[in-house]
Amino acid sequence: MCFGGGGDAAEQARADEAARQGRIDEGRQLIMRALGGFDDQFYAGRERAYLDYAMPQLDDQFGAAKKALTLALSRTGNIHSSTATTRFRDLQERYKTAQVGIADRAKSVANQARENVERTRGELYSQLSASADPTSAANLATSRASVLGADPTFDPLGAVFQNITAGLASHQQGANNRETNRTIDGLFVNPVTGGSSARVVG
Amino acid sequence: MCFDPATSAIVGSLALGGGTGLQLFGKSSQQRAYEEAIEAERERQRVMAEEAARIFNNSAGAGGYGAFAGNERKAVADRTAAYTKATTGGDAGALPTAVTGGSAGAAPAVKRSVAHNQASADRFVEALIKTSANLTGANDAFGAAGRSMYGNRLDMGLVGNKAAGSLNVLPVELHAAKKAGGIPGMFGDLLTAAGMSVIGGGMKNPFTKIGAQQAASGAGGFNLDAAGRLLGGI
Repeated sequence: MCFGGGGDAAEQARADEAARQGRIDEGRQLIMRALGGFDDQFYAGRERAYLDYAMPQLDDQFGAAKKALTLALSRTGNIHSSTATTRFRDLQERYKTAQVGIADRAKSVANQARENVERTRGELYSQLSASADPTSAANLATSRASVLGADPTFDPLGAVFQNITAGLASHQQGANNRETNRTIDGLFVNPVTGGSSARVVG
Repeated sequence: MCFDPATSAIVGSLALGGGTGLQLFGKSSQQRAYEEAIEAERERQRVMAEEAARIFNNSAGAGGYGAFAGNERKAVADRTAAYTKATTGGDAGALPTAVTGGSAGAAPAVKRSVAHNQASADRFVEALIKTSANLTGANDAFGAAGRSMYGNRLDMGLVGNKAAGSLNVLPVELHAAKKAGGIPGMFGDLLTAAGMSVIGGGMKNPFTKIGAQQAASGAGGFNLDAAGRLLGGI
């Protein structure tokens, strides 16, 4: 016959629960320690990494676009004109817009890293809550931290200054065509009227 | 064992009284254990609820409406600084010398056009930085508040997990509390049963005797008065 076995079982259950809660607290501390390196300095590094990656590409593209525009303006005889300054203003605005875009993307890279770390912490907490196993939580946190801390890969910058010379070639083409027409008209001058003998038929 | 009716009544009554007392003692121990278990759990839950409330208040303080305006201003300032830094430096603003005419200088009309366009580009960049920083700075502040709240929610989740785990033990403790008055209660039951048995056994003889006398006198049935006299004589 059992007179007081229930009390022992209850005490054991309470002690087990206290131990489980202690393990959860310990696991939380270990997770926080493993993810402790992901601070503002880390995120600023991510931001800088993207700037260092993308800005030189933009500068290269800008240099090439500047050269292409200078050549195109020279070819059309517009290099010392307000067209040139307007064109270069457009180029400069595109360049500045792209610079702001890159700075913006760099911030996004840092914010994305912040979100990844928080999401990882959520997953680790979830596993810890279910298992109450601080050792496995710590191991998992360490391995996830190494993945989160690995150097990211970025997509190359797309073409920023496409069509920067658009219109200049066609402008030149139009000027050439007009010149050709004038030359052709000159070949068919009517000696009586002094006008062109060419006429539209039908 | 055989007692005379008076002794049986005394012993039986004592046993009955003692048994009832033990039963009451058992019941009261059980009740006390119940209440203690519930009170202890209530206290544990209160402490954990306070911890959860503290975390919630932190997130309400850091990401709440009161703090948001300040956070947003700081985020906009950070963005402005980042954009300004990104758009400053290098020769981005310099026009090729082919356009400006180099050191020889360009025609006055071109110079005016250069100045006009440069001023226009500067205004454009200034407006671009300002509007972009205002937009993205607000997003940054919202994002930071969201991450902070998410982090606090995770911590509150752990507290909730502990609260649920603690509560899960309560039924086991209540079950144990039921047995807390078990031994005195059991002895109380036994004593009560024994007392009733002794009283019943002691009264069996006089009832039989009285019954026989009544049968002899022709009056059948159980005589309560006789039983009353017998108990009154104790």
